[in-house]
Amino acid sequence: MSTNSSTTADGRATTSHTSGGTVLSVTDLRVTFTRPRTGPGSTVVDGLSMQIPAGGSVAIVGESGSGKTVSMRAILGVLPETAHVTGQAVFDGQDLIGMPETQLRRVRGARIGMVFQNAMSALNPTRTLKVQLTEHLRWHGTTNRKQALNLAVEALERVGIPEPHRRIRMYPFQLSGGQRQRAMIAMAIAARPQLLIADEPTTALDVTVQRQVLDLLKDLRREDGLALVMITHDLGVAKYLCDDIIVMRHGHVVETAPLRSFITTPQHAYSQQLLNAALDTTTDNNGNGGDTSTDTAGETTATGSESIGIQPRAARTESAGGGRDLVLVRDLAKVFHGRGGDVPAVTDVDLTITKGETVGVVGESGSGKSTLARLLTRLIDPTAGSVAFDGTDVLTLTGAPLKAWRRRVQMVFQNPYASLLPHQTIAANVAEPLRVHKVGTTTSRRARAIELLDLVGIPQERVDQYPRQFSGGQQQRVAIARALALEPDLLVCDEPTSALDVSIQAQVLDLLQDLKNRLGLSMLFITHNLAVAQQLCDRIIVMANGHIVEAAPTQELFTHPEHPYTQALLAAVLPIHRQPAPTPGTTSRDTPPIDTTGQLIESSPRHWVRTTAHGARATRSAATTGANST
Amino acid sequence: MLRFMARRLVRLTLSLVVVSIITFGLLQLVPGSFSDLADVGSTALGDQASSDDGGLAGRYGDEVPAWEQYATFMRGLATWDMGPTYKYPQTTVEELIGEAFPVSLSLAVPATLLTLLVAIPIGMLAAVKKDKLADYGSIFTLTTIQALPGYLFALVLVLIFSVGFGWLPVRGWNGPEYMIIPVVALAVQPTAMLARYVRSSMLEALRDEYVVAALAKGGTKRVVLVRHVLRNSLIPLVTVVGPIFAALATGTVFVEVLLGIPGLGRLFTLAARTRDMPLLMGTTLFFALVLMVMNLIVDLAYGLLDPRIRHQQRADSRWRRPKRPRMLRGSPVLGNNTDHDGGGGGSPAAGSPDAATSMGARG
Repeated sequence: MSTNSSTTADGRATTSHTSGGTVLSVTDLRVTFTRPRTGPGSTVVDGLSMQIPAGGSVAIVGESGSGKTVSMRAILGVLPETAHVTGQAVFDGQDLIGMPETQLRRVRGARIGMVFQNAMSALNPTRTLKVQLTEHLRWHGTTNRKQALNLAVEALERVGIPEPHRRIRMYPFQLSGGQRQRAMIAMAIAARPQLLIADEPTTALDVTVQRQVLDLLKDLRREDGLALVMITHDLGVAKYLCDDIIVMRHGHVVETAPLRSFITTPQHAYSQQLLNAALDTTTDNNGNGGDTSTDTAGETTATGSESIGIQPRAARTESAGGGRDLVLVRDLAKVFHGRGGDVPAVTDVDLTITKGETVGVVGESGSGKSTLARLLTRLIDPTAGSVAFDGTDVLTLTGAPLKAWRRRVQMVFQNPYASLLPHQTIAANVAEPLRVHKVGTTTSRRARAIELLDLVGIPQERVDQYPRQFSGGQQQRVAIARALALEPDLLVCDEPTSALDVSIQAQVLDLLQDLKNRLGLSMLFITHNLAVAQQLCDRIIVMANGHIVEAAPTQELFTHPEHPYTQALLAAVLPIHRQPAPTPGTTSRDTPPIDTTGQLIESSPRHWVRTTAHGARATRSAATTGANST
Repeated sequence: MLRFMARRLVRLTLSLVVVSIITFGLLQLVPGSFSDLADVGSTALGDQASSDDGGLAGRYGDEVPAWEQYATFMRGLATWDMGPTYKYPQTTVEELIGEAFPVSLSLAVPATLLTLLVAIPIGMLAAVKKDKLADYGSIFTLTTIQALPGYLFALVLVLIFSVGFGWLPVRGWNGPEYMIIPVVALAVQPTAMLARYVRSSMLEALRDEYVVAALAKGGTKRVVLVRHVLRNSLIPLVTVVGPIFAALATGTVFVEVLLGIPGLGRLFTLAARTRDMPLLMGTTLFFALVLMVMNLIVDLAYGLLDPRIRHQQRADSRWRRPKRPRMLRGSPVLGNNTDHDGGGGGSPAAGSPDAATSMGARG
């Protein structure tokens, strides 16, 4: 290290006092993008400085567009040519910025590894893992072909992929999401780098899988002494894994602090805002994660929204109490006849939504949540079962009655931009359903659209702008306004906040909460985020593999989860304000299959849980049932 | 795989039948028949056809009804014995096609290769140098070329190389040197089209995250381009190259007629001009067959090149959708739901968690 630093004129000043244990030292990094035709560029990163100690880990936190990813890519010099990078990034005594490409290439991959957000796109879909895990070892001249294969297999084993010898010959799409992400981490660590830059490595993953991947990174830190830069927008992830935190916003560093003190006493107003917007589930985690006083079951109305200041629960139970059944689903099943056999997406689902009630559906990807939403809205037809809506059999509707019924059920989708017509103004977008159903005249429809947009907080001056001119959160508001245009009885929200940044997510949730209270909407709210579900829903249904495994009123579910899967879900949540539940002692890093063979039984009033194969549920719930049945 | 092939072959045959019916029908509808047209031209030369009709009358006499002619032809087609043509009663349709197809093929193969050889590097260059002079320049040139008809280039080439320099023969078909001008002329337009296609396909692949990932692993730009980008961006190309080849192999009428090349295109125009039913039907169906076989090959090649396609079993295609069962109430799949009542603590409405819920809410 020291010999290197003396040869590098630029890096010396920094290196002299940091070589004691700093892996990467960034000083005043600035990135500007020039646009090819349209004049001066935009500054995306404006003066980032950071130190990463050997074996340390730093989280870079910020919302989308804050310059997190760009700054890390700038350090490795993998930005497009339109980027102009200045500043210093001293790695191992050498300044990486402005380093000749040939030299820099020896650092990339070999000394600094990079992990990307979406393994599906960061791994080449048409090459086998073998090719992709070994090619850089040979590029760097680390080893020969045969040895490279051994190293790659070793790396796969290291990240906990079973049967690495066999799997290395597979293509990325043949692995599950979690395995794919691990394979990518294996690719990054195969050459044994000193520093790993992980760019939102778990954002695309389910919570339980996220926890596994984070634990893996933790192990790598501990056992291999790997230094880590973690780019994330999730404070829970940052807190779980990192020592220090850098908060970025609009390309500026807002705050740099040790994580521990950051959580308790953030210095900057924006940090405060981020911390507030981040939702935690409030539960005692079935006793095992209990650190606070929430272990008495019926204590407070489980708010989870302490920072946002909504106290809607009382009003809600009231409205739910007076309601009657709006949606009655019985024995609903959907089997997709796909390539290579039939895939049951939803099996044996019973569901009731009363007027004014919000029912949350939580579960991981592939659990059938979205299929359920599409079945309820009759976007697809079920294989079996019945759906009744306000007393009418929905499945037999055709023609005009079907169209009339569709007015009463509206949907909000995950990706707001994709669900809006890009070539129409937002006013036209909101008026579109009215036009389709021939409600009113052109002028009255426009007036109504403006009124609705006002309701969701879009000012009248902006109604003639196009969707792309709005932020993601605003787009989602427009989408909600459109869904409300026909004054539906039921609003089906399919992951409406998953694509949004935390602070924007909070806005959208506030809006939905507000609309619920004001309009008495019934909602089916699909999410994988337990904290979101807790904040908004009256009752929560947990789905796994197309089955309902547990259904209970929100507070009951969070305080007394009975099904092992629900417990695993809750345990995998990474809270910001409390300690995370200890990692369940798993020998295999693969998720155990969820047993859905049992039957749903009511363990306590309104609390339904599916029994596991042994006939017994989790220990404490067995006791509850015993007490109940006698 | 076998099932897939079988299904595709059935489809192919059906398509051929449809093409034959349409062609035959149109031929019946157009004014003028072979004999009408032949009468006009043949009075001076004497009637050759009547002296030796090569069994023509036995197959399609004037008094034979149209459907019977069609049936006769289709039977002939099925056994690859389409019989003599009206125009050349001494030769059969299959003989004529057999003579002309190799000629067309010997133009199509080099032309396709030339197209690929030129278009891929140009497209790559334009994509890599996006928004630079090389990109704008090449795309402008290609767009211009694409807008011009192909036979124009044949004429320009003839003017320069045959008339001007005298290096190449003007027209005819008599050896390899006769191939050069038609091959180049045929390749120009597909090259322009394909290069633009390569460029956009490449740009799309360049935007993929795995390119950044490969660069971040320390690959040189060149290695990443060849190993990751090029390969992936060429896969969709197969779908375009197949039809290009088929179009070239079945002859390009203008270039063949212009340069006096005895290929399929010339045969086809001749048949259409003289209302020569067997020849026209034969060539049309042959065109259709070549095109469909090429498409089949494209589909198979796609599977070979793209593992994602290969690994999803092509059990069902759009050919036949599996029938969805009608709504079944209480189907055997869901048999276990009746058992819910037992565990539900005795409530009569406890058939489901939510039935109980609503009860609770009311009460």
